[in-house]
Amino acid sequence: MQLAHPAWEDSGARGRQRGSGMSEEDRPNRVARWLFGLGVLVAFAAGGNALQAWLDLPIPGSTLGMALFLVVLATPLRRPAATFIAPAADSLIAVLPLLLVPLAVGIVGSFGDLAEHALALAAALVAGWLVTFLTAAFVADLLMRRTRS
Amino acid sequence: MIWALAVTLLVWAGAVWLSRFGAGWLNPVLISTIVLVAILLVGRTPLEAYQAGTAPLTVLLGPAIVALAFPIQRHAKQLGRLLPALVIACVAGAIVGGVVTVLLAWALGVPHDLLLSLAPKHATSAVSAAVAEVLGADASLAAVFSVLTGIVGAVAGPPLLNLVRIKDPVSRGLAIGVSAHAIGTARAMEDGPTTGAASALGMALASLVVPTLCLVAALLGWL
Repeated sequence: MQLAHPAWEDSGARGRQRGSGMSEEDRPNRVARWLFGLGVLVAFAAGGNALQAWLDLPIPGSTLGMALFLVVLATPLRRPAATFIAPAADSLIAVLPLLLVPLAVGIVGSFGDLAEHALALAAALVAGWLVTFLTAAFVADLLMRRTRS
Repeated sequence: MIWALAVTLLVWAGAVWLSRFGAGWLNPVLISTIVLVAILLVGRTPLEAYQAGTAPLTVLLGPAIVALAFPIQRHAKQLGRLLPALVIACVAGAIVGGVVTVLLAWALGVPHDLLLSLAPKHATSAVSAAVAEVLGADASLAAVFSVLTGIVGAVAGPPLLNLVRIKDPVSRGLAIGVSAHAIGTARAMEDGPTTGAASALGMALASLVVPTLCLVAALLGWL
């Protein structure tokens, strides 16, 4: 939540500033909006974590946070959310693959387990993907043809 | 150890540049991981020090998952009345895929703690790692399994769809997104905006459905 504060104050201070041309005023405003969005997203993630710890659920707190945020997006709050939070959300989604790299590097710690079962894991990985992929593709294709006709 | 952060960002930028030269298989996540693992091994850097240094990136994973609510909402509106069909397809794919993955690995003698890391692999790595952590399994392994699944999906997905003659861009995108999350979605974007949007929706749905299924399986005592 701390991140949200400077953003609020900044966008509040905007009105008090002397009119100094749109473009100059626009940039800090956009940065403030971005930081505010980040603050809200972090707050939802933190809220999800708190909920997960409180209810002792085996679902990640971040997923709970996303579900909560979806509920918010289903209300009329959708419009301000799209203006103030979407810029930060789009940036985060754009760098999502980068954020995964440190996690993936953690494989260094488990080389032993992996080598022992490498073939079995590879088989399960590919077979599982293939089945998910074909099921999703055919079910979607079938149901959509029915919906459309 | 802020060096870890600098090296990770620089290696990532190099990997993104390199990925322009290979269609799908030169995946930036895969390349960066291999290069960084090599650097850690050569430099004899302990994993803990590396992970402490890159904590700023890891911390952003939670908010990034929350941010996925936007593509769900946007594409739900855009795809409108097709949505129930897509949700059913996603749930069906996630159930069948999870069951096949875990049963096959179990039949081939993979120990229980590895099965727990394997089960959520069709969700994006951030979600699967979080699920594994909650289940008490190795989070980094779950992330790696997700990354590998995503690469398989991004490389093999589109040709396979041509082979089984699925032409509808929404079905194509959904199948890629559900089975190969963010890495597949990056590939699906190349096939056009509708395919990309359906894939983003599939990825986001999977990151909601997969943890829920794992929760149900855990509550029923199957995991």
